[in-house]
Amino acid sequence: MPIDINWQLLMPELVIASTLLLVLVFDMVDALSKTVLGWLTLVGTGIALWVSVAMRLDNTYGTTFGGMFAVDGFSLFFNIIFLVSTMLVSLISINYLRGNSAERGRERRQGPYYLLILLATLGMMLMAAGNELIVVFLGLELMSLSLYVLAGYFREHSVSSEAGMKYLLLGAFASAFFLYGIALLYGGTGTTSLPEIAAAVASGSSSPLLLAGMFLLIVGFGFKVAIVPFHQWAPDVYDGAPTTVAAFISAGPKAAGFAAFLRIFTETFQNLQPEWSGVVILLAMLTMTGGNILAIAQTNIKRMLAYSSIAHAGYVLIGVAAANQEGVSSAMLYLLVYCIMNIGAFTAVILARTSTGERLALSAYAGLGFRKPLLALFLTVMLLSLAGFPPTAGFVGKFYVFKSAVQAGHFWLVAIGAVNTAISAFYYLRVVVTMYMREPAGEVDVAPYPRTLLVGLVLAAIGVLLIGILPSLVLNSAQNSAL
Amino acid sequence: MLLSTVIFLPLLGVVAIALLRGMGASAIKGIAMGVAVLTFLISLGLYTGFDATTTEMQFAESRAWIPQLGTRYDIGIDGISLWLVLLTTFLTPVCILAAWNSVEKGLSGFMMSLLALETGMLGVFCAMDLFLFFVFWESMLIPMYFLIGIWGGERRVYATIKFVLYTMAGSALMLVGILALYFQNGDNGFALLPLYERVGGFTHANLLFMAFFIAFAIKVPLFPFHTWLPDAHVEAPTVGSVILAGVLLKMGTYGIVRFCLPLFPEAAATYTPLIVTLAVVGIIYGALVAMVQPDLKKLVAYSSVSHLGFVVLGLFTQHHAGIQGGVLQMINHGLSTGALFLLVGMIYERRHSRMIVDFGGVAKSMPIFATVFMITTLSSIGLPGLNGFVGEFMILLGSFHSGAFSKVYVVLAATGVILAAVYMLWMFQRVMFGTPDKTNAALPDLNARELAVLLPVMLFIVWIGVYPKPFLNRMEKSVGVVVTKVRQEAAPAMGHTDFLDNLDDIERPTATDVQHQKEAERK
Repeated sequence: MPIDINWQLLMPELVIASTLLLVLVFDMVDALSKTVLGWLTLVGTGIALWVSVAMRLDNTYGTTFGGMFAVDGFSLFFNIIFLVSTMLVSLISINYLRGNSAERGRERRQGPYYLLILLATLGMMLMAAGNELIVVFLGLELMSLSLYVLAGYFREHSVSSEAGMKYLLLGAFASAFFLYGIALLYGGTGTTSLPEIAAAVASGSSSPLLLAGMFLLIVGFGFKVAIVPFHQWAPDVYDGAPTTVAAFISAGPKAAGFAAFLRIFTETFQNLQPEWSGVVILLAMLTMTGGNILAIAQTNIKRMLAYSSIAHAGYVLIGVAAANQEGVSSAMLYLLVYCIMNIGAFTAVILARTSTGERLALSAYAGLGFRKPLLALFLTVMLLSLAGFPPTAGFVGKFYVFKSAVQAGHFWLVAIGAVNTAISAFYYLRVVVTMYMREPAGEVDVAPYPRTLLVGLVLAAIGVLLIGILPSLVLNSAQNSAL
Repeated sequence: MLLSTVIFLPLLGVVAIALLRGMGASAIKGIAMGVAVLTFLISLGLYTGFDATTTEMQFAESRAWIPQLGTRYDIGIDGISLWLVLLTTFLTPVCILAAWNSVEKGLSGFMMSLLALETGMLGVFCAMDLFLFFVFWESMLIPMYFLIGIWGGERRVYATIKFVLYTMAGSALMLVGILALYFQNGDNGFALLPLYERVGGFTHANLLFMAFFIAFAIKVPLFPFHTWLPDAHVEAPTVGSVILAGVLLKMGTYGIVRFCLPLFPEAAATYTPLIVTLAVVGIIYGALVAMVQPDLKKLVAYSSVSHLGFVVLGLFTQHHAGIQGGVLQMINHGLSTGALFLLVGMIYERRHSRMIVDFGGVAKSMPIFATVFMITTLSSIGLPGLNGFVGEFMILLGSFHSGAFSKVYVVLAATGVILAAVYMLWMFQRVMFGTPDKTNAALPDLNARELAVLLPVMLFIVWIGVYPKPFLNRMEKSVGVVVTKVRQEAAPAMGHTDFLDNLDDIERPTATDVQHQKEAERK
């Protein structure tokens, strides 16, 4: 059977694929400074972003590969989230990799790093556009395998290797759950195509196999996006992985997991909503509360951000639980905002490094507010946004998610979410307290700012404030892109 | 545009200071003071241009903001918010002048926080859109958090986090309430005015009332939500305490008048016995605790709990004089307690102690200070001829005429006035009289800057006490709106068992009556 392929719909993915081939080729030219690979990645993702935005504006939608690959407003909006995250991460990586290699007097291989970042991005884009469980699974594996390697990228550091190994083992478990779920769904409906499964569900089929498959998918996704109680890997991986990689893992892949989650659950399993919404509501409550309470106990800022990112997955789940159009678009907006502010926060952590290494202990941030006022100010903006204070993007995101859930009648879920916001303010503000209000134990040890990192942080801060004050810029897009 | 200018001019000052922070301390102070004074002068335009004969929102502006969320940039003021806006623009330059020499580190940050705080507070009083209100309500927390946390006393970190978390816990509930109202507001989005005109009440009105009321009660703070207040006051720098007592606490009582009473009158009537009980407990408890405080600042902080109890009592009388008195008392408390904190700050700068036992005979070394302190103390107690009396008298009058709760409450509340005299005068006596020891005898009296800080406040304390008519006149109509709402819709819940109710229908004391009554009393 000849399959006609609509190449036009694949443009963003093709741009990323060509970029990664170019990175591969350039990496082999020994005469070339390897910094160029970072810029190449940046430009490549930039072009892909531009293409995605153009396609989104022209409504270049459709399906290809015999309906296995769906390009619609939804997938293009997620492309924008992934590509913005990848751009920010590659921007901050340029100085980060160089800085680290200089410390050890040994050149770190940059080629594989950017290659893996691009491969993971490609995987995410496949997940968002996959209209077929097998394609979603391929995207998921492409993304996850790249991330396992990235997490262990500093292989001479035992913590980094440990992070990679832990991530691999637990991730493989999750993949197995996911695959088992697909198998059961296939058993229940005889197909892996999402529209056909939806048709089977609509026709009243609710065999136990179908339900069991659906819940296994929740478990699989739960691992990937770090939902309580499937979250145990996240803090160790974030803590051990190189900080840029931690920023990357916390942003794009989480959005990708939710992209597939949203498409499968709010579209394909729409008619089964009574069956799954209770579970999702319960998971949302557990995730928010668990993430926030555990974050309070942390003394290491990377681990704190890890638990905070778990809590944020809980807020996104509120939008999923609402399961209406507003809910989907609010979850999408939240993910966009979350990616920007979380990468910004990790960037600030890298920038706060001392002359000997990273500043990880929370207590080491004492006095930074007056010693490094600019950095402290931007980190404060990021933390206030994560805590959901107006006039930052975090507030708009949370507000929109809560609004959609109230519309769906989930008052108690929103009340718990709102109380969680207050809980989370405690540990975010604690960092601010330490920076501005605690006396440092001795002289504050600071390192000069690497330029691209600073640019990355400033861009993230501008994004957070712009979306916070004039949310209309992205709200329209999110609302029109919902499924 | 006038109102927007007043709200956002201080923010412009923040930007200016941020850009020019390298310019040296006097330039920063100059910019901050200039902006604050200019804001006050422009805000006087609100006073002169205010039309006291209409119940409409005045100086209203309405602009599209986030159409996708159904929220607009809607602002406007009525006779209630007018005074709180003016109080804010008045107290800010006073505070900047008071802090002139007392900020040692991070002066630019201090002034930026203060001006950003002003914008936040003004926004809260002017917002006519629930979303906009919430944005200002929350964003105002951040500068206050820095003011207490960076420039505060020893336990400042504990105090500032407690303050933020208490407020956030309350506003979390309010957010749910706001969203629930949004979905009952049809196509009007988050606009407040269409909610006022809605007939037939809201579904879950009792829950919604509580969601809003708890947020405001924490801010007021009403007993038993008051525990953050003494900590925040004691640890805050002088100026922080003045703003906190003067304006921030009023955001809570303002919220009650603006949202709780007119939106949910029936629920308000249902909960009136509970709330009034808490208010009376707060009045007496605050006064008793204030009496035994060894620390001047803590004493004033607890007296705030007591005074704000009066305001809440007045607001829930369902009676014109009571509510009007409550609103006026918000202003009075802002002036007199603000002045008390300023005075405590001034003597602390000299003596580096706030403990009452360390003082004695201060009147001999600082006669001018003692005079101003006396006036403020008497105003706080409610001496006729000074502002506190007018407010408290109207509140008690309204409470007596109110059929909403038993008169036992009023009698108990009135003891609060006596207790206030006890703790304030006793404190005054211990600090001011007696023979000064060596350190106290050497204290220098107020200088010109400090007098310039205090005199404008004294002016208003006397003005409101002697001639409150311009103040009451302008709030008359707006209070009338609230009263009509509360009485009409609460009527069935009240039950007309009290003969005073009928009496009251025939002859409702207006502001001018109170005036006459007061004047007669003075003769």
